[in-house]
Amino acid sequence: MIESTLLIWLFVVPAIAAVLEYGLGKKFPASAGRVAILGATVTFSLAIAMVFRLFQGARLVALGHQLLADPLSGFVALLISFVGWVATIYAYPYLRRQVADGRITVERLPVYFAWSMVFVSTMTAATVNNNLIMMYVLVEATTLASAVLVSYYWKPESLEAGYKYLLLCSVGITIGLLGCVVLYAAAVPLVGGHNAMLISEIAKVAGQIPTMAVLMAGVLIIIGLGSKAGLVPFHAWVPDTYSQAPIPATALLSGVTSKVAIYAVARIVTIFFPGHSALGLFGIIIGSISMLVGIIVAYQQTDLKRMLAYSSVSQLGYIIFGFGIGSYLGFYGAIYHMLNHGISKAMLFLCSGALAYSFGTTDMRELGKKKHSRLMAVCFFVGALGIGGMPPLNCFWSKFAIYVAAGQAHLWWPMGIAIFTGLLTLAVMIRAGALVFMQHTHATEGHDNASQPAKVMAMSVGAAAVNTAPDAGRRCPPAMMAVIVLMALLVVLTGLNFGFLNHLIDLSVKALLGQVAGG
Amino acid sequence: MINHAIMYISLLMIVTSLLAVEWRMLPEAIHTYQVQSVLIALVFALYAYSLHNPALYYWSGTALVSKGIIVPWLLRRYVTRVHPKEVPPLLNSLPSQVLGIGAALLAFAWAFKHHSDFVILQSLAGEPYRLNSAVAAAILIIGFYALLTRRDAFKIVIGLCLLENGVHMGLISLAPSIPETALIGVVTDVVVSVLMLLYIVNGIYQSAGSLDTSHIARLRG
Repeated sequence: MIESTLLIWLFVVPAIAAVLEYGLGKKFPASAGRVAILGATVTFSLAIAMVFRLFQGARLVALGHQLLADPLSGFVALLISFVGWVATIYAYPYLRRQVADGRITVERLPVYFAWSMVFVSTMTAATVNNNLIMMYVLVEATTLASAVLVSYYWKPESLEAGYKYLLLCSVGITIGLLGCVVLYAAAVPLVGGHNAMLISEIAKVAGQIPTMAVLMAGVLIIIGLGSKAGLVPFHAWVPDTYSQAPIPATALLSGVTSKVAIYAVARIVTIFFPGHSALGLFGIIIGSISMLVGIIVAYQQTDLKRMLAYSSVSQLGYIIFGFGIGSYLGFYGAIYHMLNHGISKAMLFLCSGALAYSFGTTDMRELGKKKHSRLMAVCFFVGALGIGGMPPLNCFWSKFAIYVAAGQAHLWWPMGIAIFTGLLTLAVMIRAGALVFMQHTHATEGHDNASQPAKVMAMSVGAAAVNTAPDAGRRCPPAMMAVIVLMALLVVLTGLNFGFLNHLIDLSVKALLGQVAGG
Repeated sequence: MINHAIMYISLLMIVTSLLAVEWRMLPEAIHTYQVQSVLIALVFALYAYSLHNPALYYWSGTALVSKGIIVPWLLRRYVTRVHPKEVPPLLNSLPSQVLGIGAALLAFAWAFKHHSDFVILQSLAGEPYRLNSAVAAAILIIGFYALLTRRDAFKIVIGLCLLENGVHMGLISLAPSIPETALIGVVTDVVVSVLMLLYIVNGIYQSAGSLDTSHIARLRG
């Protein structure tokens, strides 16, 4: 164990960026976002530095073991800070266009950037937190910070989404708190009042905690934090929230916030493996239901964002399923899928944002009537096929690991559901891509619509433009397109699972297995 | 003596929970919640005195300020802007009361019977801890009951507050030695979440002119 202030800076830097952004934004609202981009860049750099230190084998601690980072923490922190970084860069031109369109006022810009930095800060803090009750506090804090972003447009629909999100997640996380309380209470006589707060200390006495307390705490934590992750049947908030929040915030919510909740579940519940396999089975059942229900409902959607939201529910089912199996390969698949889904789904949401930016709609039938850039189509299909599990893209390998792990554990019926869901996902994703990008065969790239300002204005306010020729829409700004291309490249690169990534996932799995062994 | 006081006060909390859910007039329901918050602060203070745990005094103080003053003040502030009477719930008064009391009794009986399965220390297996954890279960279920059967957005917020009180009651009865560091975070989250919910509920009222959540659900575009 090595003392390191990196763990503190990891969440203090975005918090400082948030305060500065808000303070400066009041005076210079037009410059909003610059401090946030700087803060997000520094946070990402800190996460990279932390991962390199974790590669040396030692765990990092701070504040008297209240903060602890092992390779799994580093892995999730890296994912969060990366998606936070690209989402902030993407938001810079995206929100300015919305100001130009009159959808928001310029004074609202610093509000977004400040709260998105608070959001990143709470998520990174959760990854390095080692305190059981503070885990509840931080996961709830991510909800509070993101609720401001969900209701950002302050329209009836976004307010309803914010209300649902805040209420259902608060109720869910309160249930999770009850689970943490039961666990803490059971651990106090074994390790003492202060140590019973530390997850690493509870892990050492996990075998001595009464079965009833373990089962009740485990189920409450899976349900409570699972509702924050959007698992079925606690997913009612997911489609409204993901479709009403500004797109960069949705990329964060779907790409990484749900992973923070799953990370918290894995961090706490896996300490009882393999002694309490019933908890694993509970995770497998919830995961299987989420997988199947999520993708079936996704198939019925005509709105791209809502389809992607339901697909997220389904993909998170894979992750909880992998953790539920409890073997090396199960953990490996789950952790790898956290990364793969985080990048691919965030990229697809950013694509949908770019489409909304160009055409003022995310309805797939409407988008099918438009003329799209080839580059955008390629990026979308890379992400869609990635999520669909098409080899050799990233999600194929993580899903394959989970299938094999399920087979090794003789979990035949969940394996069947997982494979069937995988095929359905591929069909749903190809259908979405075909609906949006393959309706017009005369699509060309590099269009310039500067000569059609009136039509663009009409689309930006959502008016139905009746045209005989396919509509080329508004050109996507280079910064937004660059982010999408970068993430599409990452979908391909993470699929190659090069040495660095494989080693990091391997260390993360061993960290969890070490925790299982009580180390 | 103190143990008896804790037990009687905690039983009063079940009564206040039921009243807060069943009272159709929102200002009165908020008052009842406020009374419950004062009672929970009193329970924490009595535990602090009997167990000589100063952390519980801090908790008692923060509970009194946050749940006893700030949250009811916020609720009242928003309710007076809107309407004093609750949007009619899914059930009429009598069946609602019967169902609420029945669910609370079941939860109470289950937790009372199984309390010893959750604790290792014999000192925490007896009274008042056993009764208090049963009270916590009853309040939790009443909170859930409110969330499921009420349509008024303010009543749903009160239901969430009850749920949180139930969890806090569970915390004190299962782990009275809890350090204050975690408590500060827990209490802050509670106040901020209620504040944000009320802020959004107020926005919904201003844009939709209604606080009927079944009506709100139709706004989806």
